[in-house]
Amino acid sequence: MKRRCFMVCYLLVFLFVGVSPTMAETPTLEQQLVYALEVYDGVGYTSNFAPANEETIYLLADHSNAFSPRNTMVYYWAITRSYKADWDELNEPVESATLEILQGQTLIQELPPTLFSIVLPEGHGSRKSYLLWGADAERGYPGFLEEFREYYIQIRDYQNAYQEYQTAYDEYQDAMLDETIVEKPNAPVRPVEPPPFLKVVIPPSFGFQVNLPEGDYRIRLKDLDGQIIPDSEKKIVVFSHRRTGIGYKIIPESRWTVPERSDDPQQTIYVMGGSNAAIYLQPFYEAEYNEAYYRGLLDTQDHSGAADRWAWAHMEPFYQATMTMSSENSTGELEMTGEKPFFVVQMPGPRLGYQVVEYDPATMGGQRPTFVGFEVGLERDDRKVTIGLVDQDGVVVEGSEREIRWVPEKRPVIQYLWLSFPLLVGLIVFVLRRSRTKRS
Amino acid sequence: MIKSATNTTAITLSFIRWEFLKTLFSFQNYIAVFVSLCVAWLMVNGMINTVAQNGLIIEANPFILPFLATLLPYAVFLALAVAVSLAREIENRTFEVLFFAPIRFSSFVLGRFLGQLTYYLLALPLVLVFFIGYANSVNLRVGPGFLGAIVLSPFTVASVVGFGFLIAAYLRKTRITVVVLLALILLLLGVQFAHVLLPTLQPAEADTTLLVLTDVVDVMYRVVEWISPFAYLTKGVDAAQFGAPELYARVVLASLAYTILTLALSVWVLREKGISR
Repeated sequence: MKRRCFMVCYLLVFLFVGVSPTMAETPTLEQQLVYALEVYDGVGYTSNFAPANEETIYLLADHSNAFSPRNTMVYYWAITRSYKADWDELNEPVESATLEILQGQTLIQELPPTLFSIVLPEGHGSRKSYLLWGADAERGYPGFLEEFREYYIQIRDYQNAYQEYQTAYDEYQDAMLDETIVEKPNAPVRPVEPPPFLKVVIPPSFGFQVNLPEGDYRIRLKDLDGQIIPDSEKKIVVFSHRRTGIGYKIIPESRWTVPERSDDPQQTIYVMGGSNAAIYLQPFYEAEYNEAYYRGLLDTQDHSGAADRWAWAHMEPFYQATMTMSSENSTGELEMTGEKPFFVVQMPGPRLGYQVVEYDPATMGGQRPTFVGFEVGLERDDRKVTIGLVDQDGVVVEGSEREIRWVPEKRPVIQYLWLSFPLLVGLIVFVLRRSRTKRS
Repeated sequence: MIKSATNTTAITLSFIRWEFLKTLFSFQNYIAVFVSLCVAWLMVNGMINTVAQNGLIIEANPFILPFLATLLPYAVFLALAVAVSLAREIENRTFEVLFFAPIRFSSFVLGRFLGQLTYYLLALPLVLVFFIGYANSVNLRVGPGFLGAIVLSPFTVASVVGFGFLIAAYLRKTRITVVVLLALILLLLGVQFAHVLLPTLQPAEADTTLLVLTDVVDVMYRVVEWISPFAYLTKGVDAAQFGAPELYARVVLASLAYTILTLALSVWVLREKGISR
């Protein structure tokens, strides 16, 4: 009995002791000097941080980046296999006098801490952002608050005006229904709602403005006494794009929800001959970077990129261009197409299917276009068409050209001739040799 | 001295001539090319079927993979053939008999090597005619990457054959040579494919095994990219595709240096180990 009691107690202790640490397990925090980073990614600024174990920071050449050294608590998060900063626990700027940038053993720059601020002109939903430095940053945030206050005044005025409009409209409706009033009043004018205020400016803080040409560098912090701050040294790899170009999001009419992408200008778009559908193309800027460097730029702890591979990074949509099309059958004249809005109409009834039609604001008022793009009809006699973009000045946009090729619907018989070509040659050689041997 | 050099050249040329004629008049070689092209044809046909099912496909080099599918078995076959013939000659002692004549190791190695290369050089125009003719009939584009691969391929085959020769010269036993050579080629190709394939896999849940495997393959690839002849081919194709003639020329030179190094090492190993079994 005693033994059984002991076993039950042991089991309970085992269960609680065994389970509780797992449930209450918290990562171990370690105080570290880290660099909070605002790095330029080709469109805007990406927030990032370099913990103590990451030796290298990647930057794009000839763009300003903000380095903000801070003391914080860092912990390892096994799920993402990366270190995380607990900014709420500790977020203390490192008191440093200068940031030194060295190339080899040569000191090339000594940067003082400068006030900076991030501006998101289209709000948090957009990738676009830029940095303000020094006096601009000092003015930027109060300016933003002032703009925001003005926006609220506009909104308040609009709401008041709208209330007045509602009252006036009710009166107008009453007057229209009142048969005793012979002279009907004019309808009140609906007030225009101010456009949404999307801009965001982050309050300024101190950081170092790092803007370097392509190359390998080292950085380190010096304190107010001129001593190098321990753990502040990092390698900086500054890189540039290998190519820039125009990528296309390609929306086939047959499956508009599953678009394809063409990044490389060498790529060809193959479509089926005899197709009566269309494809819609949406161009965007893109740049090709070393995969390891660019992934390291977006996240200092991302080592998934390979140093011998290149990756296209998608930038902003390319607007205000005209698409040109030239085919073998055309007599040198280019077909020009403009970008148009399109609307997807679902088929009535239970049958799956839809139709992509050109958006008409007159008949589709109240609804927004589903997408905007260049339409390329596939019902053509051509075997090959080359498309490209020209900008507003009529200049061909570099890297925008692509070939569209029509693959024959019915495979030609001649393909078998090409396949059996080695056998035919072998047979001819064999016969020739035989006849020569017989003759000799 | 001059007489000796002329003699060496004559012996080397007679090796090459013999191998060339043997290849040219052997109908089996044409069948081998036909079979490997059938594999390429099936691959391209599969791609065309995808266009029909998918509505469209976007492709830079529709013929690169089919061409590699033709080239790789051929290169491996030639490497095995040269390795087996050398190992067998050492095992059967015909190697000893051969060297009763005033033959240098270098002319023997060079003759055998160039003879094997003629197999490929004779097959290459047939392969090229098929791809260009077929591309034209189904309206697929023969891109610069494909042409770059075609030009680079004899150098790759030469490197693979040189690699096979070196393994055979060192191991000297047919069975072990075949097993080791095949295992090494599979390992080199496997690491190269895994290096490309693994980063593209994105499992829905965190997969530690996959992450560890990716790291291990990355480390292995750092070695493989120097010692694998196939790695030079992919680098050359990339360079041709990107339009970097300097880089392409560097890859061609690297393949050439690789071949010379493996052949020189083979001569050295044969000389060091002697002609007897």
